[in-house]
Amino acid sequence: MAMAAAMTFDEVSMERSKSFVKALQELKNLRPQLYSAAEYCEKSYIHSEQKQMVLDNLKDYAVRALVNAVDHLGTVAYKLTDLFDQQSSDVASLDLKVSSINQRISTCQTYIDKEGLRQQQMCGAAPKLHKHYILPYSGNSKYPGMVQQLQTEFRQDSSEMKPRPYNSVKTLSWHLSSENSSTSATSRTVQSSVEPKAHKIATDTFKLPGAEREKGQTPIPLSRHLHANGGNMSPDVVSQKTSVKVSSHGGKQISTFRSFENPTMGRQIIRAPPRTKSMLSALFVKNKAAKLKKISVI
Amino acid sequence: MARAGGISNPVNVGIAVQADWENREFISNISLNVRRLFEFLLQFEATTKSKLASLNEKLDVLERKLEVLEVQVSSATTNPSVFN
Repeated sequence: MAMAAAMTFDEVSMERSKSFVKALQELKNLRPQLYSAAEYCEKSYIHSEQKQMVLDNLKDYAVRALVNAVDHLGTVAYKLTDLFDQQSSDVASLDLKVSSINQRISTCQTYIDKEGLRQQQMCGAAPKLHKHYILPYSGNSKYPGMVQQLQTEFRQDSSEMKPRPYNSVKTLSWHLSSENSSTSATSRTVQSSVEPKAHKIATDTFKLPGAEREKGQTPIPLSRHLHANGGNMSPDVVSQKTSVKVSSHGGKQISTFRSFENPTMGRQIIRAPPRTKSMLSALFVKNKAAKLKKISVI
Repeated sequence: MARAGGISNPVNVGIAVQADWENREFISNISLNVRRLFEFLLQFEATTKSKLASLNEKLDVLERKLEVLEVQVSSATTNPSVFN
């Protein structure tokens, strides 16, 4: 009953080892026993008178000794095989545990690498949009929201630029250019009146292609013009600084500079829808103060 | 008497020869079984050697794996900032 008590894995393995050692010890003890029995039989056969009886006893003892030796050898072999199987199973389980630990470590390493990559990728994730997606395209009525979204993204990207006092997406220059493109007749007169000033301002640094220059007129640098006016310039001059009419045909394509601060940004082709004079005048009234402030900062 | 002694002599010789043959047969059987036992022992030794060699190889591989894991774990414990 007491033997039926639960035994731990270590105790079972210890019992198996003990039984194997015991069986091996018994097999080793058979050798001196057989040697002693052989000497006794030899002496008794020589000194005894009943040799036949000694011979018969010797035959029986030999058979029993052989059977006993075979029995002991079988026991030892069985216990050794059992012990070997136990050790093999222990090694297999240990191998599984080691492989599981190795897999955990490799998984942790993979997660660490992925996290590191993710952190590194987040640093330089500044959106860079193409210019023609950034500029407003008011003629496209299908995606009004997208235009606003693009504009907000552009404002976020150009954080180094000074914030504009007005929230209007379309600049004054754009409106002026659109106005000029829509009313070609009136724009020509306006153009003729302001072209000399524009060409004075458009110096070699800007180098606007297609810009017509009057003969005999030398271009005046922009800095001189600014200093001459003391930083306060009329909206007409401001608009002509930022835009130069390339083609006489209205509403097709106009090349404009974005701002004074980034003259190297290049030209941006936009399409100007037709605008009326009343709207333009309203814009002039609203944005005049804002433009004056901006020019004073420059 | 002489003839009786002469007749018994071949009989005794015959009996002795038969006993001798039986003894020899017994001895041959014993030696045969001993040889079979010896062959079993040789085969058992070869099988056990191969099994123990494979087990030893598995243990060596496990030992190397454990050494690698130990180094990895020690490096992880010494540099906890990697996991932050």
